[in-house]
Amino acid sequence: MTLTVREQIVQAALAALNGPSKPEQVPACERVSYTAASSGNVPRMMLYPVRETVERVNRGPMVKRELTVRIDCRAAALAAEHADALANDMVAWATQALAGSRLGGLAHDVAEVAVDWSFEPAEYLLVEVSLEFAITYQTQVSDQTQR
Amino acid sequence: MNLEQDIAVMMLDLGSTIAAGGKQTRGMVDSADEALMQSGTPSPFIGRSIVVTFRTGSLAVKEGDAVSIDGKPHVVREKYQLDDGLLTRILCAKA
Repeated sequence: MTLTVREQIVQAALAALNGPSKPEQVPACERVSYTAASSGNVPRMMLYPVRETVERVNRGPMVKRELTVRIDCRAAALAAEHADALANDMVAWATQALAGSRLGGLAHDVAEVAVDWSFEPAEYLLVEVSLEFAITYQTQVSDQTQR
Repeated sequence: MNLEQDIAVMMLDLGSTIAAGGKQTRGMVDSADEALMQSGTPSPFIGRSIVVTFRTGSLAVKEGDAVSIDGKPHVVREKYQLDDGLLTRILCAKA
């Protein structure tokens, strides 16, 4: 089965995040994972799609799509550390790797649209920084595999 | 035996050594894993809570103080009084 353009975009985004320019201290970005994170397996990054809007272009044969993907960056800190600072390298890299990219021509644009922080104090101080990127692209009206 | 004495005996029998500011006491340590972050994400972020309960007055600690639990360094994050103030409960993080 031919991949949808969306799936190609997700794969291209992961390839960009895990490319040779990735800083050594940044972990490999996983595709959506159902395996729990804990202080023993962070820092950790994972990418997954969260929504997509679709708009017909001038009643023609094409639709414009805006796919929002989220990248969760998770880290755990000791009491004396600043948990959000530990996610800094992952957050910076995600933006560097994706923002403004066209993902090899699959997308019209990739724009960073939001960053959210969540903190949870426990044995370690846990932090999750979630970045959202809006990826605009187009497909044929009745075929998501064709651009 | 009154309640305070009961608590002291219970801590001696079951407790761990809790030390801070050059003093030490016995306290009950409750440590458990729980899913702490899950809003909107496909997988939880599991953290371990460390809760120590000891007889009020047996150790003077406040939020931010260093405390050792069986010799391991921690920091007091939160402090609560329980049971009419007879017991103190602290939530700790690893230092």
